[in-house]
Amino acid sequence: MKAAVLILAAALLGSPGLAADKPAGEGEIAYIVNGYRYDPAGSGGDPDTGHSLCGTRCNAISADSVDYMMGGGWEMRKLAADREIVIPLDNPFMKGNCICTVDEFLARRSTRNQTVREGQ
Amino acid sequence: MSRLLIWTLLLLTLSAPATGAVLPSAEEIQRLGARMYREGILPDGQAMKAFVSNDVAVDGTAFTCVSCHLRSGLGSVEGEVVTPPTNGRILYQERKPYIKGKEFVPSVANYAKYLPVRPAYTDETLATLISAGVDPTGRSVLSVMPRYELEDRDMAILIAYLKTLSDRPSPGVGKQEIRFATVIVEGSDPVAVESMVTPLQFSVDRKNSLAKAAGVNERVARMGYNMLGDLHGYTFTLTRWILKGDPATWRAQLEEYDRKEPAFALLGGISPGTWEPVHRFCEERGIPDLFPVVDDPVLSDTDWYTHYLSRGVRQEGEAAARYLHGMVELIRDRAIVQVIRDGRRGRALADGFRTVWAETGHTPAVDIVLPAGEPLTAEALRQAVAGHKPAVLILWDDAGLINPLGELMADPSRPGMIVASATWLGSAATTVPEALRAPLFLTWPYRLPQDDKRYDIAARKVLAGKRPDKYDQVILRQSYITQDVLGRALMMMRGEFYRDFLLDTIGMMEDMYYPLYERVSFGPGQRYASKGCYIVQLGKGENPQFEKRSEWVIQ
Repeated sequence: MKAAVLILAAALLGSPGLAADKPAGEGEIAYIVNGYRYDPAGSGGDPDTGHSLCGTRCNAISADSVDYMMGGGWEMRKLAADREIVIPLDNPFMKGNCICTVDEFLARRSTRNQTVREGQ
Repeated sequence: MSRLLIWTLLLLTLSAPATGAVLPSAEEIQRLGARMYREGILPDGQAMKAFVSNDVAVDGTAFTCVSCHLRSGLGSVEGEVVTPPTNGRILYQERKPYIKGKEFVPSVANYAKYLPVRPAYTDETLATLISAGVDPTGRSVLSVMPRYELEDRDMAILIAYLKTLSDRPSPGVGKQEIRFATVIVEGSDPVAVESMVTPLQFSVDRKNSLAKAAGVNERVARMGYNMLGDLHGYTFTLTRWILKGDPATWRAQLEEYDRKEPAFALLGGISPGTWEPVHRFCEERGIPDLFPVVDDPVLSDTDWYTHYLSRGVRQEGEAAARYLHGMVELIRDRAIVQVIRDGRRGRALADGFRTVWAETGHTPAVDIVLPAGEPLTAEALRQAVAGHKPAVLILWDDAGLINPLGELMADPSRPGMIVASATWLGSAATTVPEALRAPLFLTWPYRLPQDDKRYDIAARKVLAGKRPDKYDQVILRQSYITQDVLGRALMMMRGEFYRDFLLDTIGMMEDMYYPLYERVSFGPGQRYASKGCYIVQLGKGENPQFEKRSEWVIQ
């Protein structure tokens, strides 16, 4: 099993196009979610169930800022506060969208205080 | 129990305690005393009578000694709340606002100054503290500690037991050396073994370099002493205990290693199969075993000596159940079918799901067991779907499920949701065709790979310049956690290198952000450090990433 996980992790870590593979300075967008609501978008989905599912769905896109810092060599810059982004609920049993209220950050590798050279 | 300890206890027995009660044998003191100390149960089987706020009667089983003074008796530190040691060796010494010989070690000096000075306890004054809540200076401790109503004999047993707590160095600890070992089961993948050992060896070598440098350079010695106290001068060793043959023979092999080269603790360890004999050995010998690399940990709410990184693959099944519980309104009365590949892995996943699904009050899923070695076919899936019309089809199988599942997609009566284990699919997870990705939900018990890349810098430090691609990245990260937790714990131990205190100390550590797992948490008695798992789906494109569909689902 370990071998399978290794291969999978290696495959995923090595995938082109990963945000973390981008050159230093380009960075990736990270959200910290402050709130959420459900929009049935004409699907007739139950609002209470939708609200509950959107809690899970929006929290799933939320980053943990400590997670960026503890890795070492990363910094986060706030781009916007309380921005609303719309994502599909992506549930096989219920349609509609989730509106997640987020603080938006640009997370990128810091070139300051670099203690380990690339490739080490 | 060591012969010396038995003799000590025998002498204590013969020397008649202050209460005048006749004590039982040394073994009985251990058994009965431990029960009083850890469970709050008197020798006659009744709960100890405890009183808080002086006169409010409470059940002693809810206010045990161990909950504050911990198993080693060396006390606890939580934020700024310090519970002092309660072992005889320290109680029967005068307490000063410093610990002799460690006056200038910041962590120890800060610890010592929190505790009020007092004269050395005697049996009489200790009995007064326990029964009346008054210490030898006449100060009441009732605002922070219950008092216990004990008969003379019970008090004498408890005091005799406290005298045995952390009273002599643990095996594997010398004057200037701490010995560790790692257990490697023959047949483990060599790359996996090296990925497990390399971070541990790095940590040992780094520590020994400091000890060596401190021996020849006074400035380094001062710096090391200020950081680590006595620990700075210790050297570490890491030996490999290789287990061969049938697991039934491992016990004898472990006993022989332990006799020849006793280790303070076992670090890491790896087995392609069971870990049970090692777990049992550590439990019975009281040897800490930190984070073995195993798929199938021993699950127990009461065992104490083995710390696992997680509950193993079972955790994925549990997470799937919790995730589905969150949308149970949508599933309503429709069935859930688990197709389970027979074998240890499939059974663990299915059992994890089954247990949590039952705990959350739902009708059991329909289990269909696939015999080991028999390929999964689209026809078998069609029959399962036609027979039960499930809302959710759970497939606990390897990558052989992808093609038959792909064929099932054309079936209009296919279930809306399919759940599988990403760790079992392995690299094939990224080859799942796009048409299958919308209904397919996967369990993934690690941080998402694209996020975990941020921890590459930390994880690579333990490679000391070696090429990362030569190692198993998951095991390397797991072993990174082991060596880091050990290092932090040893620094917190104030030179009290006792096996139980090592585990007590880890139990006092804060939640940590480490490579691989989204959160690693400890706590008194907690033995499975990572408690979470993601539910993910595959993104679009040729090399899809995992996309989270859940938070870090915590058990």
